Amino acid sequence: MVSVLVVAEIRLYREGLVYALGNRGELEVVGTAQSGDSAALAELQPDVVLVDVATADGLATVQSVVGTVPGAKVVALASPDSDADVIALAEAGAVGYVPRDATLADLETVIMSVARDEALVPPRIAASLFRRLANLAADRSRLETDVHLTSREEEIVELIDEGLSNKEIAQRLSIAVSTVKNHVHSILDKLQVARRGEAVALLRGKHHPARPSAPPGRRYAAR
Amino acid sequence: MRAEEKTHVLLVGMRGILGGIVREIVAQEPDMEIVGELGAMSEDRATGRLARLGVVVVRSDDEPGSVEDVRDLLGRHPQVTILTVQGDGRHGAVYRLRPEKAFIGDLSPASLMTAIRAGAASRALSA
Repeated sequence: MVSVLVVAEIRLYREGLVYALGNRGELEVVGTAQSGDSAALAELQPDVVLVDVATADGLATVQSVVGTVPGAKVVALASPDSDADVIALAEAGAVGYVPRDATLADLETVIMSVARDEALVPPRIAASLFRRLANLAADRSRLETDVHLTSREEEIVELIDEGLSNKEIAQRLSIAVSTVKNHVHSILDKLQVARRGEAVALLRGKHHPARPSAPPGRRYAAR
Repeated sequence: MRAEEKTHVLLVGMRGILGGIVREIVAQEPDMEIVGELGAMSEDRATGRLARLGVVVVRSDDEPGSVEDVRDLLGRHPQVTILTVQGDGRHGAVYRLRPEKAFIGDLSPASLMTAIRAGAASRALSA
């Protein structure tokens, strides 16, 4: 038996899905919630959380559910939107997607699939996900080929990652604040990003345990 | 419960997850019976099925001129009650066109005023 919790702001969906899914043999609806931060989520620990993301903050709701019940599989129930929207849902942590114009039988099939750790997505969406992966790989490849930070710049990125300000970095490295600013400017320029946080996020791949340590001046992999 | 005592319900445009939900809810009620489904209200012109019905449940979002459809339907079948369900499932409305008699009992100043207020409230509700 797969336990399901329904998260939907709209009452007809929230309570109606209990009627609709409750009659299906393999599923048990263990509760409902109006939002992703409901205490019921952590309390009931369902196998699958069905989230109606058709409302304005649907993406945030998925993220909230994933944070609250990391062990649960999240299925998004959404209006049929662009592929980019579906990819955003996947990046937020959803492992299944059912458009609102699907049938209840389709919904049941997807819930059972994700409960078995399988993904069941329309071929068009699957193609978009593969394209997305290819683009991410291309970005990583570009960084490995094109971006080269000096050892001092690397050092500064690591200190930014620790949360230090420019002034604190200057004190730590015994250099002038203006010198730190110059290094930061150079880092942002090389990585083609606008903010320090983006640079850190982009270069966090260098701390990946699978990558061997490299001498100063090594080339970076993107996240 | 005898079959003739059940409320006969016709579903119109009830597709997708929302349609499935409405279908399941009605089907689980012992005093209601789904007697048919139409893709759109205009299909009734061919079947004439609505004349025998109590309630028509219609999904109302993406049908252009759906209000005109409701007006037209009530004009042809004034005994029917129409319940529209907005496509996102958030709101609904009930349309009825019928003379209604509610017995007031012994008239008194108070019951007369209550009846007038109830009539006004009913008008406000339907506005």
